[in-house]
Amino acid sequence: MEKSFFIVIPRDFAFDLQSRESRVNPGSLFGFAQTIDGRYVCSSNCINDFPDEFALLGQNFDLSVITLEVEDFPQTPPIK
Amino acid sequence: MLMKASAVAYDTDAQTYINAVITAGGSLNTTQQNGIDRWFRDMKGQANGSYSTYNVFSRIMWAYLFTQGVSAARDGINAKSPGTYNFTDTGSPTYSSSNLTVAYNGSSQYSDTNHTPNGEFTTFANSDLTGIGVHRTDTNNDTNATMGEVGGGNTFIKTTATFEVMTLSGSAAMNQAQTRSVNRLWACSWASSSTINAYYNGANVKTSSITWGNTATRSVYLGAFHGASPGYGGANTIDFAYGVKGAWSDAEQQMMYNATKALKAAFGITWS
Repeated sequence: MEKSFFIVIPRDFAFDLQSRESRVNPGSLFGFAQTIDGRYVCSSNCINDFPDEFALLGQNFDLSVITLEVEDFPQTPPIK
Repeated sequence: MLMKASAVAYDTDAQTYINAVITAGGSLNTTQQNGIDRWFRDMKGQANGSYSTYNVFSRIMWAYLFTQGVSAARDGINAKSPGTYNFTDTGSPTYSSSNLTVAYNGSSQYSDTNHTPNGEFTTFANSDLTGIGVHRTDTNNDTNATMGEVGGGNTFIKTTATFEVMTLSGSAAMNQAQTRSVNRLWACSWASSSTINAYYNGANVKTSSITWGNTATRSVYLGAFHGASPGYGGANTIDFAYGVKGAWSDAEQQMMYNATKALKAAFGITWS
């Protein structure tokens, strides 16, 4: 299955930044997801849209980029 | 005798859109600007020797032409009315300036049209969302809707190579097995308060006699669907999306496909 790149982030960071607008890319809002095993992650693209925020985070938190598949996330209930 | 060159005058709405894209940092060469102008003229029913045109411009709510493949700031500009219903991104989806697309990962990314339709119990005549459409360039099969909203009058599109579901205003425009390629233009719209149609590359593929349902109540998402929380149906990549109001005929939907295919050609993009 197709994989995408994600950055693992702390829960507090995820919720603090949620829906914040990028200063370098207006119209781009921060968004994250939680994996089935409980990790909070965001697209690796987010580091480009929020460089200052990630630079600050990186001072006290080891950032890691991982690959995940759709199956690693909770399934959305089917709609009809 | 010297001939005096006359300046090219684009359609006023085309020029407004071109200016908005350039102001946002985009670039458009003459061929591309000519292509944009042609699309606007098509939407206003001006004669085109290649295909029939119809005046639908006033019935378009939003149309995203993806002329840059760079960002929401440039590609999210609503061609119908720049500044109104421009879309915003969540989760930093991936843009491609070579393919003029945006790719959503199906787990944390979507775009919000910021168009919240005008109420669950609005009549067909007064509804400001009676049709949606999206052009996919990927071939991934959806596990759930990858465009639309769920609230009041469910309005969404879900497509796979073996099954397709298009629901509009709480009524099924299509819900059946099929074997069509995913990477095409999918659309559904009401032709009247009692007829709903499904379209594939501009051609009517299903007509149903259904009494008008309810207008959607949440803003329409691209890349995911708008429920109580964002709902995902898998990764998907798009290069055009539109939302409309009023009654739409088969001929008008065919024109939307023809005109946008021609627009894409001006940008070096070939639609199937």
